[in-house]
Amino acid sequence: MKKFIINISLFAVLSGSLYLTIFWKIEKTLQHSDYLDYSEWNDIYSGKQANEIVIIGSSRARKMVDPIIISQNDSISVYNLGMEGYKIPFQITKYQIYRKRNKKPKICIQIVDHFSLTYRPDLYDIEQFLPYLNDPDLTIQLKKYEGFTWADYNLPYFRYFGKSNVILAGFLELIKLKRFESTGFKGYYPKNTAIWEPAFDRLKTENPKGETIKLNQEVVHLMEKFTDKLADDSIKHIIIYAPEYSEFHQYIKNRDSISNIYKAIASKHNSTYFIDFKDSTICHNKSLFYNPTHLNKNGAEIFSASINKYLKSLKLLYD
Amino acid sequence: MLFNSLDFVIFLPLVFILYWFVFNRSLTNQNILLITASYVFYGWWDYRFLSLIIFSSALDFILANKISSTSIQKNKKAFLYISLSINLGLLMVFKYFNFFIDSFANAFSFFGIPIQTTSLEIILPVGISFYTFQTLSYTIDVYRGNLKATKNITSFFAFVSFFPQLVAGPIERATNLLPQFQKAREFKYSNAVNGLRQVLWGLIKKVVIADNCASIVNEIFDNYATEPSGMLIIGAIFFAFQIYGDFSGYSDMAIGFARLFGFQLMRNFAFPYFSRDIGEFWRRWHISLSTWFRDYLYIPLGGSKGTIWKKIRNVFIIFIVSGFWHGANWTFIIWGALNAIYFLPLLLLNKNRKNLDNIKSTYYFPPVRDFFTIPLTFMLTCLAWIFFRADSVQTAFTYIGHIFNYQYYTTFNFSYELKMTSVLIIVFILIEWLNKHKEHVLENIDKKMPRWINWSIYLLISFIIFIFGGNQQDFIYFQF
Repeated sequence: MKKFIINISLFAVLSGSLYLTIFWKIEKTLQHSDYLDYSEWNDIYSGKQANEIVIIGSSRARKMVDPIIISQNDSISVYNLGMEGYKIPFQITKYQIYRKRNKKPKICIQIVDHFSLTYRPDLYDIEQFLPYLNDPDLTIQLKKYEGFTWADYNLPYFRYFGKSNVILAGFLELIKLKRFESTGFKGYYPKNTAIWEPAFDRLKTENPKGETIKLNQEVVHLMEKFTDKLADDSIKHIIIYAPEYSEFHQYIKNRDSISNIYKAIASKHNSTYFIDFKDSTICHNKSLFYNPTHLNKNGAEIFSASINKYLKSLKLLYD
Repeated sequence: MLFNSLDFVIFLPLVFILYWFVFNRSLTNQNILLITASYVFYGWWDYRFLSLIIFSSALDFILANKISSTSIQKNKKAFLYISLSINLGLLMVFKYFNFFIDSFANAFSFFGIPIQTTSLEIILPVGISFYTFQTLSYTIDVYRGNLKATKNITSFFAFVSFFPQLVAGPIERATNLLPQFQKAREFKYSNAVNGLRQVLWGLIKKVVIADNCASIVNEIFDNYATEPSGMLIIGAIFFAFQIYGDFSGYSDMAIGFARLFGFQLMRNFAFPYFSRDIGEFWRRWHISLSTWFRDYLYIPLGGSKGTIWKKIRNVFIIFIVSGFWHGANWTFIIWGALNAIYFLPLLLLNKNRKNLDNIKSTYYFPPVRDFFTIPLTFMLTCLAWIFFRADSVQTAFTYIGHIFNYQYYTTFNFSYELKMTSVLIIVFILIEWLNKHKEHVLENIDKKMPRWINWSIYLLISFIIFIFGGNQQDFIYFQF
């Protein structure tokens, strides 16, 4: 028995030490990696960002707003903080983490749609948070959602369990066998495709009468508070309702009332603007979309140019 | 409590320390500790069902003693029937009540007589099929005179509830396990280390193979109507590995943990996918259940003796009952019947006991005949697994229909998960193939290699479990 206990303890100490060392090194590497979304989170946590414009939103922001076009050929600095699969509460969290560590932006462009004011209880694409799960600003918000367990938060590096792609990517970069490159630029990840996704056609047959989106009042309230905060901080807030393919409009019964909520929120402050693209001319051109709510790269470029034009017309840029 | 959970990581060392260092002076105290630990382990799911185990244990303890104490054959039989009726009755109520009600209603509707039925919201107690069969075998063995009824209540209760094998087997025979509770256990270093090695390999099977297959299989079976044929084939093959990894992984862990406490449980799996015919497969798959049915159902029915029709009847009965044991669904019954159909030609041609030998450890490349028979047996098994996994018989037929329908012969995306799991399965098969002569893959590795190499292997396996571990935690067989 003595031999058994000694050997087990020795093995536990040895393997534990090796585990902690390896994962400490891997995590440090991931904090400088461009794998997955790490380039954006690493930029945010670097504290070196000094962008005049930040864009927030869901995948509508991430895939549809080009910082280069907005920046008018780099005359000003723009960063896209769009988060695929996330609603307003976590979009604001990402902005707040950015804001706490980096220079205050002059303008915050928020891309919204009919889903933005709803609530989603789970975390999407949770791998993106792994190297930063020690940051209390982030974890306090993450804990409000389903996705990570007690062990992920409290046991060292347990959050990497089963995340083979992340571990292998970190390990390959650690031993300098491979350097991953970001597929986006400053948080912009366009989808360069002309293929129309079949999901909408399924939706039409499954739900021919369309649906009424149930809004979450807490999220609406949070949006109002966020707008107030930006106004207090003297940050111009541009709320933009994203374009949607016209044939889709009839399937969301309360589109107009949702956009009126944004309009009402924007009307409370002089520094807040609401721009409605939900019925713009882009919406009628199917070839600019790859599904009813997402523009492809061509569409995104036209949309970004339109935003730029609006910003100019509002005389918010280059003054 | 699951073996692959953090709760168990705390539970096991605690029980181990108490067992060997605090309660080690008295056999009764050790057994009481094991009963308590087992009830905590079981109650972690739902403490209300502890009453069922306690009731079942008490019932068979009393009835077996009654059988033993009476010399009148009629009374012996009566006590046995009471045990059978109550144990199987409980199983019927908790597991099969809704199935029978629904099946009757469907049958009446089929003949144009619609009837209103009420299904009960019954939660299936975890492991009820396993411990019921274990207590039944005890009472039957006492009735047959193969075993003397025990007067030691703590050892009997510990035998029924022993936590490593309580919820998913191996279904132990009282003749093997009960005597181990009645004599002092001795801690043997080699036995304990061998047990831990088996646990480690069991974890690989469950966490790396089964859990990674599970997420892909679930996705395919949830969307089977639109998946291409190639994907459906992958779904069937991956499910074969999911269920093997899940169940044999659990058995390996159960046997390994039992070794830590000085117990020797029976082997439950013997590399079944290397079988050369379906008869051999069933001698290697879920051995404790197959032999249970053989000893308590097949042989009493006459086995392979008697007329040809009797043989056929017996084969169908044993396979269909085996299917029904797994769950209250027609899919399991068809799965059982399909295996009976596979088995019949072997029986009728008198070749069912042809491949009794273990595939030789010395050949690493199978001879030409086995090169065909092994994959053929595996494919037949995969086909049957589709019924096992499908929600309904109709789903299973549509699934199979789409595999052979050229309209579904389209290309599909080989995702990272699919590639990774395929590589893991191939490596897993190779390792199992090279170690097929052993009881488990890591058995006796210390005898051939220096300690630092052994420890490196354990470390590597631990890291592989951590890196490639899948998300699904539950075990498939808990629902049976």
